[in-house]
Amino acid sequence: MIRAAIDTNALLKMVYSSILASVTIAVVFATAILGAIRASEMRRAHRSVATVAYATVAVVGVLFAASVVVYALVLITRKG
Amino acid sequence: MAIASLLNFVGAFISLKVATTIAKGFVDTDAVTTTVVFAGLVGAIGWNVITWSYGLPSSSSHALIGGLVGSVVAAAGWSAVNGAGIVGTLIVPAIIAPIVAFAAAGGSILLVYRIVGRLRPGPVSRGFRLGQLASGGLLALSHGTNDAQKTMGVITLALVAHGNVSASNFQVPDWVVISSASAISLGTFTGGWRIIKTLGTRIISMDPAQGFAAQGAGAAVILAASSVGYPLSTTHVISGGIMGAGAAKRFSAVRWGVAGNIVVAWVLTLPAAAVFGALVYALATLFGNGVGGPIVITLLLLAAVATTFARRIAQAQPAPITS
Repeated sequence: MIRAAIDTNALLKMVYSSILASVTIAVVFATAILGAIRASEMRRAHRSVATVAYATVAVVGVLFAASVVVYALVLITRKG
Repeated sequence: MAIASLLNFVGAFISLKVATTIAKGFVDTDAVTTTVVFAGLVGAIGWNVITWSYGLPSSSSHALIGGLVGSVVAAAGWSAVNGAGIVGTLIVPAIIAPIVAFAAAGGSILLVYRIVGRLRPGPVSRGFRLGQLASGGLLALSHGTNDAQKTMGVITLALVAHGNVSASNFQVPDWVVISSASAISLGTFTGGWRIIKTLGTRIISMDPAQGFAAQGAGAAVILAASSVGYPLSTTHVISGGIMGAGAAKRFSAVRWGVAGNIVVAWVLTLPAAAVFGALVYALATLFGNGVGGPIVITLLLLAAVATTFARRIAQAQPAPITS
C-alpha cells in the first residue's frame, strides 16, 4: 500500500535535481571566487595574461551560477 | 529582512502545486465544513503555541496538516482521510527532504573546501558573504513557494466547504494568492529574525562558505519539492542543510542535542496537532453545527491571549520603590 502511494518518479526528480543544482552552484561559485582571488594576486604581480584568464573564470563562474538559478526558476514557473 | 520578505511575496506566485496538494490531497473535500477547517487551524495553533513555549522547534506546516486531518477524522471518520496521499506526498517527502538537504550541503561544502581551501581565508569569506546574499534570497523565494501555498490551500479548502469554489473545477482565487503572499512576507518582515537567530547559531556556528552551502541546498530542495507539489517543512529542510554543512567540516561541531530536539518535535507534531484538531472540533460541535462553537472558541482564545499579554506586561513592570 505504501509503495503504491509513493510517486517514485516525482520523489527521485526532487532528490537528483536538488542535489545536482546545489552542488553545481556551490562548485561554480567557489571556482568564481578562486578566479577572483587569483586574478587579484596576478594583477599585483603584473602578470596581465594570467589576470585576464582568472578574471574570465570569475565572471563566467558568476554568470553560470546565476543562469542555473534562472533556468531552474523558469522550469518551475512553467510547470507551476 | 525587507529583501527576504519581498522574495517571500514573489515566491508565492511561482507555483500553485503545493496549494492544490493541501486542498485536495489529504482529506475528502466533501467531508470538510467551515467548522472542520476552523478546528484544524485552532488545533495547529494550539500545538504550535505549546511547542514554542517549551522552545521546541516544530513545523507549523505539519501542525496545519495534522490539525486538519484530526478535525476531519472527528467530523467524518477515518474514511474521509486519504491515507495514501498523506504517506506519499507528506510523510515520505518529509523524511527524505532533510536527508537530501544534509547530503547536498555536506557534499557541496566538501567540494568548496577542496577548491578554495588553499586560498587566504579573508577574501574567501568575503566572497561567500556576497554569495550568501544571493543564496539567502533564493531560500526566501523558495520559502514563499512552499509555505505561502499551505495557507492558500487551507483558505481554498474553506472556500470549497462554503461553496465559493467548486471542488471538481478546483482553482485558487487570485485574492487568496495575494493575501497569503502578503501574510507570509509580513510575518518574515516582523518576526523572521528570531528564526534566523535560532537556526544560524543554535545548531552550529557556521563560516560564510558553510552558510552558502546550507542555504543553497535548502533552497534547491524546497524549490524542487514545490515543483512536484510536496508540502515540506522548510524549517526541517534548512536544518538538514545546516547540519550537513556542519558535519562535513567537523562531525562534532553540530550540536546533536538540538538536532535531536528537532527530530522529536517533528515526529510528535502530526499526531499531536491531529489530537488537538479533533478535540477542538468536538468542543465546537458541543455548541451545535453552526457558528456558535467557533465563536465561543474564538472568544476563549482571545481571552487566553489577552491574559498572557497582561501577565507579560505585569512581569515586565519594575518593582515599586519602597523606602
